Amino acid sequence: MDLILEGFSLMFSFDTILIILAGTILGLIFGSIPGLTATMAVAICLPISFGMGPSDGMALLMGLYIGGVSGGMIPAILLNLPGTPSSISTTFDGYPMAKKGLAGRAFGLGIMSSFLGGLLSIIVLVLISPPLAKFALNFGPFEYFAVTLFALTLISSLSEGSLAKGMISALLGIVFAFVGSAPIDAYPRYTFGMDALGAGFNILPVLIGLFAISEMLKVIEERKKNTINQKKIHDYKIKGLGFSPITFIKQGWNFLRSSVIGVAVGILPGIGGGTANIIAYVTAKRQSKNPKKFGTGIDDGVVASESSNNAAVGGALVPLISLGIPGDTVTAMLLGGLVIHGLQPGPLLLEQNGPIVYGIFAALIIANVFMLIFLYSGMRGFVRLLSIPKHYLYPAIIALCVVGAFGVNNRLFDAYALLFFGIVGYIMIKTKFPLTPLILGFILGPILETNLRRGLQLTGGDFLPFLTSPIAATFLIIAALSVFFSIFKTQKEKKMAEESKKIAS
Amino acid sequence: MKLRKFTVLAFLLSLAVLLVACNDSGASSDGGNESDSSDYPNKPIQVVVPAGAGGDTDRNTRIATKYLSEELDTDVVVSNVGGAGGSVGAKQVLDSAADGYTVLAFHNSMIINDLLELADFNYEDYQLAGTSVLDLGNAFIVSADSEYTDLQSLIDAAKERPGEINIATETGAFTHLQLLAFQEATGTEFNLVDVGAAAEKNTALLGGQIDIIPTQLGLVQEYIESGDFRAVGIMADERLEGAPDVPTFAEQGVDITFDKFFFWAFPKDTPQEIVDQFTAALENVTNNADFQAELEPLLVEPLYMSPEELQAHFETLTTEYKTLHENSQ
Amino acid sequence: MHENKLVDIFSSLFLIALSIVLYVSTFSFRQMSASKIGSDFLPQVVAIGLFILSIILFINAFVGWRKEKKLAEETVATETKEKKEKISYTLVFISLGLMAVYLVLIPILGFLIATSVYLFVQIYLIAPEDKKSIIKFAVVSILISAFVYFVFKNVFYLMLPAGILG
Repeated sequence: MDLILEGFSLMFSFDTILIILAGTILGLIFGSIPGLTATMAVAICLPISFGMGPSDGMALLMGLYIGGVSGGMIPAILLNLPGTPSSISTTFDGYPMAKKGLAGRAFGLGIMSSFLGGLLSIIVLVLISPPLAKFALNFGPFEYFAVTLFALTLISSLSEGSLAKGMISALLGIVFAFVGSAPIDAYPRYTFGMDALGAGFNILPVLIGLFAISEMLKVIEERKKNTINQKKIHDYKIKGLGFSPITFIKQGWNFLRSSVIGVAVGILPGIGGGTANIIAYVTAKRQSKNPKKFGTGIDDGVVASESSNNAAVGGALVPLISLGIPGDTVTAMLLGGLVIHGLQPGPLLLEQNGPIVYGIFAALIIANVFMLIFLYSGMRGFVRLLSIPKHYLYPAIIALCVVGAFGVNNRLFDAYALLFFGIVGYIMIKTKFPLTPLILGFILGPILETNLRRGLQLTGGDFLPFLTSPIAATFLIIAALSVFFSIFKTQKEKKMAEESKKIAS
Repeated sequence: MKLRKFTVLAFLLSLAVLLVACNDSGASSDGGNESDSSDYPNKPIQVVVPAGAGGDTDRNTRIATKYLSEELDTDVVVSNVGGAGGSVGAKQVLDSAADGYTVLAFHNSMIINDLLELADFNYEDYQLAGTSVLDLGNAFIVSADSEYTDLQSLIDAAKERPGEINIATETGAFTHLQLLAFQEATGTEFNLVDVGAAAEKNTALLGGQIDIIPTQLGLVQEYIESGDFRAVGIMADERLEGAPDVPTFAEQGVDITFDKFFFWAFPKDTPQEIVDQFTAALENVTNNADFQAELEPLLVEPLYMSPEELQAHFETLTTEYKTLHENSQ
Repeated sequence: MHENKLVDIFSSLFLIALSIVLYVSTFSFRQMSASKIGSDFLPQVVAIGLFILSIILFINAFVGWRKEKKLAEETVATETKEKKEKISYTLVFISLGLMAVYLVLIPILGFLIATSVYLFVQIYLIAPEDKKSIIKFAVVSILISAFVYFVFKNVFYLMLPAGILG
């Protein structure tokens, strides 16, 4: 308790609060601009934070992290562009909602879910991170392989209409992830002798290309009629929080489940917030009584996505704080930040630098509150974005995407990749292949392969331990059931459709 | 329609004017852009770290850049360009303008990348600037409750059960070479499992998926203090000042030593004056007491090698590593 | 509707070809003697999976296409096709080309100038006919580019290519 107070007192100086505020706002800006992400915000501000004391430096980074993850909902809801991988599934229902003139409701629900999901995960982080982190250590290559395979099978619920198309899209994602140096031995694959392909594609250009560039191409092709939607989104009213308290209470279970998924996925190093939101969304859809309504602008979708991605923040910090192991790219940089400030992350961090660690917790909570206040008060302003004529808005977004892609590794190759994936995304939209499985395959493919190969190195080529590990076996069984169930369901739906056709004729 | 064309032209023209104007102002303040090194540096210097943020390469570089930017009186900005064992970042520096504003900060792995054909270039393709940090804490670490208390017990166990003891590596990385050397020196065989970079090695050891990890002592010190890990030995000539309890390999009868040095290099054809200036700054940084103090808790030491010394060191190590690599095949 | 199936047929054929290329390419992957399962294992599994799924997609699409074609032939006399929304693919292609040119120009002209030019042309292309104002577009393009450039370069130290301005 003393530590908590001490931690808070570290953060409750005027300067520090101001730093957190600045960090949160900057993070929100980065998160909300397609092409710029929380990762980039942290990377850019890392050197700035070195110039500050450890508590101020960490305060800044926490603000950036929280802001960066939350800001993605703005373009997701308004423009159908996921600003960061964390907000991919926010577009599924947030954008349709906004199209119906309910942008206020989408924002209200999204902001509240983000806030509460973030808060919940911070509480988990403060109270039970050591045992959780210890549990996560049970996840070796076999378990990772099984979990990843399970997450990949979830795509079957994402593919509207054709199961085959969804799976093809996921496989294509894995194929794109193959490009570059192979895990383990680092020999190049599918590089066609090009040096630039050696490092493979980065997630950012892939994501932004698929979603943002292709979205702009769609806008261009529909140039004549786009004035109609624009008016509708712009023309809405926000009352209070944008939704009634009862609506949110109804979402209680969905919120809780999604947050828990967010924390759990966040804890597992490598998988991270980019997939948490998709997994939470799919789970919500599967457990829902009316899954057909998902994708049409339903509350559940926005709540699931936004609560899980913010919950993943606390989750990712669990192994960092208690074991010194980073959970995603942002926490890897936070780790670097801690070291530069003379704090050795590891099992003793809490013991030796208690005040700072609790200061970090305090900063997270404060940043979360700032995020809430800032987004709520800014809500009306964001919608104004849409009053910027599209012919200005989209080209400007493209330029920012190029900057963002370039900033990933400071090389233009990533900007070329952006364009390439824009074309791929556009073709896929035209040929009705779903895009999200591709992203999921792209993120999870390397994790799947790495752990498969590591696992086989451990066992000397024996596949059996993948099945005898209880955790791995459980996930593999769920994965198998999940695929079986999807195939069964599509077949049934097909039959029903045919029968109804017959009756109709 | 004609009017429109005219305005487009006017726009492009105004751009051109802007461009010339900018160039002019640039010229007058720079005193000519043409690689005049007399006022180097007059803009931020980009340091390419060919590894992700959070590892020891990144850490050692970032600490040095803090002091370098004071010495050079300009901003020194780190860019992490990971991939393919570091060869992607290294290649990027190789291909960038030789104007002194892009510099590579890397370590021994450059030799190994070349050896394993991950890269088709090596140190000779750069203009070496010198070194800043030396890490002698290349250690074997086991879990605190491990049955391996010293090297001998480890060797005995490995001889009893060849190829069964799991030892972590990152294929093609510096630690991989250490393991090859160890296996050769002791006539043992381990099951080499790739578990990834430094942080992932710690995870695997904590989670009990692996028996031994070779890593930098400074990166696991916390875990040793907390009673999770134990160091079996370091591959150095003498014990480290900061960790007097950890014996060397040589003390335990295995005569192998490795040192990890962190060097700086410019693209070929960078003007000599610029490199000299940077090298001088590097030397000053390593002599700076604050810099030295900051490295101390990390169990690494400041070390300045001149470009010539570095070149010689590279040559020695290349031959050494080559022999090791060939013997293991 | 049966055009959709036709699209599926073409895309599945493309994917079948792709999966074969992907599979064959794995033969030339370099292998590390140390690892038990090589870097070609999963790519081969994925290529086979892609192949099978594409075949399924092809069969589904082909069967559906035949059915619908038959149906369409029967009903063709009574139904007139709905008029499709006019889609201006030309603009899409021009915009794509423009982006490509933009990216190529960045290292030559530098970010600032290349972006100004790109923004100007792109805005001009997609602006509604009645709102085209060259001067306004030019000013906006230069302002946006300059703002982005200076913020990223001077505040965030992102090394954007300076090109001839460098």
